[in-house]
Amino acid sequence: MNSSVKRLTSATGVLLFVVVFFAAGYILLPLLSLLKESFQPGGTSGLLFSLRAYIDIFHSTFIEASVNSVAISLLSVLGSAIVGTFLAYVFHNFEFPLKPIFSKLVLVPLALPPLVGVIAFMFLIGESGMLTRGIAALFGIAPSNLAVQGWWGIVAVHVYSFYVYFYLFITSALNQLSESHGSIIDASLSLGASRAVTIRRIILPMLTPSFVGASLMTFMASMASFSAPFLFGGTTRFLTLEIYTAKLNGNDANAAAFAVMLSIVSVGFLLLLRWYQNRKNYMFASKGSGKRSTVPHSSAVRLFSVVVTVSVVIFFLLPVITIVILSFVKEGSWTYQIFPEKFTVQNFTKLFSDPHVFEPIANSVQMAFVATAIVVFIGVCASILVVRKKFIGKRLLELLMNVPFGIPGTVIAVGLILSFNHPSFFSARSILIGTFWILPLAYAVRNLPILFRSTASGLESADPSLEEAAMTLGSHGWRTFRRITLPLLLSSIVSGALLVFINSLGEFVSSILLYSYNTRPISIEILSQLRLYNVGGAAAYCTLLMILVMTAVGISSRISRATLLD
Amino acid sequence: MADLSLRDISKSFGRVKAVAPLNLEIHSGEFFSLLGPSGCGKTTLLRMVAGLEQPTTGNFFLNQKDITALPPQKRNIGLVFQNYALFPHMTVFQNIAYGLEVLNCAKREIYTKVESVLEKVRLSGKRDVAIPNLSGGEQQRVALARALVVEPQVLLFDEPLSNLDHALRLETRGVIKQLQKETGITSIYVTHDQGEALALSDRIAVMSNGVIQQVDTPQELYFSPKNSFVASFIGRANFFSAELCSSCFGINSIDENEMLAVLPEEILIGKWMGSVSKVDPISKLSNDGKAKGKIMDVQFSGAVVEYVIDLLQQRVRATRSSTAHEAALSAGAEVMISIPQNIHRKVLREQ
Amino acid sequence: MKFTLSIFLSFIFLACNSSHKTPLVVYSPHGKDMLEEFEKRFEKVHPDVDVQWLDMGSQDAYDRIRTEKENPQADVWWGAPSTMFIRAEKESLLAAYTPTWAEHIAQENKSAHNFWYGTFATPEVIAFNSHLLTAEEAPKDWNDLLEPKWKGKIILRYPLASGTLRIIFSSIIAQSVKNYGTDENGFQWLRRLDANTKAYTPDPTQMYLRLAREEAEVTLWDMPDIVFQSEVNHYPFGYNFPKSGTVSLTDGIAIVRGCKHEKLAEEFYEFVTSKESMILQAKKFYRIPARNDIPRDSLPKWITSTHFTTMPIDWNLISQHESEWMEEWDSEIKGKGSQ
Repeated sequence: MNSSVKRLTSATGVLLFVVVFFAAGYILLPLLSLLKESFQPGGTSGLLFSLRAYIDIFHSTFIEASVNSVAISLLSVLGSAIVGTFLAYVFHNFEFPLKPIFSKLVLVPLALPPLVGVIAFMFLIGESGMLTRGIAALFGIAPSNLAVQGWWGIVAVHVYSFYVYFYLFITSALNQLSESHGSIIDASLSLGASRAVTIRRIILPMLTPSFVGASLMTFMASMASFSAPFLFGGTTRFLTLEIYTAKLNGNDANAAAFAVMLSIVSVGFLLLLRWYQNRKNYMFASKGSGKRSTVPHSSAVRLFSVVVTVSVVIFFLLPVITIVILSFVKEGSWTYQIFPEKFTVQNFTKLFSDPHVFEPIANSVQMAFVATAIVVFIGVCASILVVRKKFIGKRLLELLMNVPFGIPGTVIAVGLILSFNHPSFFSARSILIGTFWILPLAYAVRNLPILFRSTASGLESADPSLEEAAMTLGSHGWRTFRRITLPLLLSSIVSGALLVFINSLGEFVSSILLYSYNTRPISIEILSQLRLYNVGGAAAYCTLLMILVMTAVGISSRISRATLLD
Repeated sequence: MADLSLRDISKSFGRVKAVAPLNLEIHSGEFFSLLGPSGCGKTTLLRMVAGLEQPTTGNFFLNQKDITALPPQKRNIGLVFQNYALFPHMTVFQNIAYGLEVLNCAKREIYTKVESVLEKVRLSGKRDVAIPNLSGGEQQRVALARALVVEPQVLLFDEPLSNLDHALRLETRGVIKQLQKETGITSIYVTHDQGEALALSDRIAVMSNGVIQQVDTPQELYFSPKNSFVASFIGRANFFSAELCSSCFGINSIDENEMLAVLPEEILIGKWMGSVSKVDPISKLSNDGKAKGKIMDVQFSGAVVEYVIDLLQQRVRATRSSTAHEAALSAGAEVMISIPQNIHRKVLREQ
Repeated sequence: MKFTLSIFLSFIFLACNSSHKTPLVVYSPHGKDMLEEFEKRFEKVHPDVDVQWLDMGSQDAYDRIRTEKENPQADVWWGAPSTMFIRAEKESLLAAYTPTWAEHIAQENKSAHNFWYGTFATPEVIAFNSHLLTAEEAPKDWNDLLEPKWKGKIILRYPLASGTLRIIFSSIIAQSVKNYGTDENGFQWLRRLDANTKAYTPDPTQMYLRLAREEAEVTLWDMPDIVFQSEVNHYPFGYNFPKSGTVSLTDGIAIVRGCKHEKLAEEFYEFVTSKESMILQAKKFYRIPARNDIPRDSLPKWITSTHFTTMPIDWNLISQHESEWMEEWDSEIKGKGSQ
């Protein structure tokens, strides 16, 4: 491998230029402007550079907030790992009625953007939620004793939104494991190891890379999460909330310093996991036997697991159902009742009587589409560079490709504004703020790591000799990429792109700072409804958004199937 | 038709020398094998020929033209991979047509060429089958067809049969040999299986630790190895020191620094009949030069029987073609060993 | 592949497509309904103008205007509490403009240098769930809120993010400074309020919902919104004006410094603050005009029948210390009142 890499072709050069351009201009530069902001002295000291903000936050709430943030993120990783791994294992190992439907439904939390999820959770498991009140009435307990709030509330929301990373990563690893290395499981069992021992000593260690990847995504997403701590955190301090509070008080330098420290914690965790993963590398040279092998279980375990899984999936559906119900409830009529009593289609008719109703939907689809296109282009180029090529600064590039996921959306948006509200080399000397492009760009930067990770791991497991075979047949770079590499990566790219598309569709935190009248997205429209306290209208819009997400899921699964058979 | 020469080719990975500087001339239309144990540098050498690796030093000349700087795409050198490297998302036809599409061949031409090569590799009925639905042997033949169809000047094989079972290996070996003869493509074949190399090749280069030990025809390599590595790797020869030769077999022509290499099938064995040797009717043992040994193990593998004999603490391997009554010699039996006087295969004693 | 590409290109084309009208960008928290209404009305008079309103909270509007300082995107900033406008004025984010009706407004409801003018008065009230409490049972003055019987029954909007709550809290501390010469008594009062407070909600919607859904019984909020919720959305809300006097927050309007269409911005400014517009805003959108020259008989009954005493407030003191007081509250009092 070594020297096929040494010959940096012109194509590689172009690739490198594009990726470095993007990483430098849209990831590094905004981060640097943030860093610069955090060193603003403030006041009238006349200094150009000061550590005041850092000293300030270290003396006030930084320690407390960062301990809480890290703790809640670790709890979220743990919770998501348990739920995601359990579901992945059950769906992989057991057969039960309606399994195909349940295995689709398990992805439903994806359809619920955080903004909407928060409302749904309130109406479901908040103190006055349907579930809380229902159970309270059933057992005669005060609802306030049942409400899920505080740390558990945050962890619940995080697990709900992030377990999907574990589920997807572990499922694909389990498939790979049993299809190509199934004999390992058989070997362990034949050596007299019990099922539990086989799972603990053989299967779990082999899944380590997937665990590490999913843990990283979950940890970073939890660190950067704002809505859940904001809603359930009460008076507990978290880093994202401290950024927000500092900003509200007009203390920009402190807000930037908090954001910088948050990024450092996220990057630190990333490096720690990378180091751990490098220490324990399970790679396989053996070729697949094509035989699918799984661990056998007793029927009691099987029944129990399936029952738990089905209940979990149904529970996952509840917030979605709640939103749909809300969209049909007459405004102001659902207050002290356990379940709503007055239904209406007024929320929808009112929505559709607005001649501009489809504009935000079209905007969101369009911008999510552009963002996804950018992410796919940059992410695929970057993963090829990082996995297949060797060059100076590769580690740094890889780091930059991972970092944005751990940075709150607001921070990225502010960084982009500071970098692009004047002509810049990276925007062809034009001003991006106020244009259409800034929103897809923000979505792209934030979600790039998702696609980068999925594509890079797909590329790592793809056999390089396929590309070599094409080369010896006379096929040049671009053709080899289009005909061989791309089709092989397609399923990783499509699943990554789907997540990016969905995240961009409902994105709200950076949109609020970047949108303009012509580019207002659905999330802003939902927020507008909420600001008018029009919960029914917001729920109706959310229902449209969820339909949109489901459509995207459907189309993407057709794309990946159709192209594979092409 | 092309000849390929390798001049001063070497390859280092960091401090590790994978291939020591070497020179090779591969003649036009020749079937040339690189034979050696795993890790001897033969695959690295092959990949350098294909252009997938760059040599640390040296140049490749294809028909006297320096191709060292050319990328793999421009060399017109085909490669059949050990794991086949078939494109899993394409059918048999699409896999084979790929190289022709790259050459911008007309659709009609592609079709005819693919059909004819499919016939050659005996896969006519499988044209539209998806790759995962093929057996290992079929996949290997698709890989062969894919490499052949573009009519490369040189065709490289990287242990192409190592993932097949024994019967398939013999069958595919035949297909390869026949196709090479028909097309006359200069071929380089990498393998660690000496039987395969001997059966297929016009000439063989035996490699060990990145160094070519000997380049010769199969017969020469087998009967006249230049050193003990070649002798043991190709013919699994027994080595006898000068002292042992003279004391046991009465051969005095061996120098102190030499060894006599004797192939297993050349060892003569007979039943030990007490103090007076009684010549076994099937082994024409002469009276002089005979020694007493003890059979440690008997391995019957159909056509031949292999005896492992303890001769003065040295293990001696001897093979005989099987006949029904040979089974009488079993482990523990004492035997008489001798070697024919006309064997002069001497190799240097290893330091 | 070609299909996808053509969709993609048409999207890009759509994105670059723009109208020939002059855009006028308005940042405003006044809500979609009111903004749409005035967009239509203004465009009727100015057919060549495309009013582009961006509906967002006043804090978000302020954040955007501040970060966009180098290259302002907005023309008009319509709606934010006066304290926020005072801050923006100090940070040179606003352009001065004197409206035609400048003399018909109280001195404290406008910028001394004409950088902003008040539009609406929003008196703060003690609001309660009228399904659970009658006006008689509900707290009637500020100090009633500290009674033990309201422990765990008060829900408040997270004050740092709310202009309304910031002004209430700051006023209470300002009163303490005025009456006792120290902020200590004010903070003590807030500490006791925190002890009685069940939760701080991240946004007003949550506050409404939780109050309506009986998770709490009492809150502090502004009167026009409470009236709007009970009359339009039929939520079970009632309110009491604090007997000892309440604070009234002034909501204002301003032109963004360095905006692209200053003349047009001024016209929009005049248009939405005209007498007719003010009356419409009062009738349809439950806003109390800040201008004092609007004929009483043209205003709805809920405004004219309202009588309350105003707490005398030193606005300068508040705008000077608001940030530091709120920071102090956030780090020292929030969640610690019951300790």
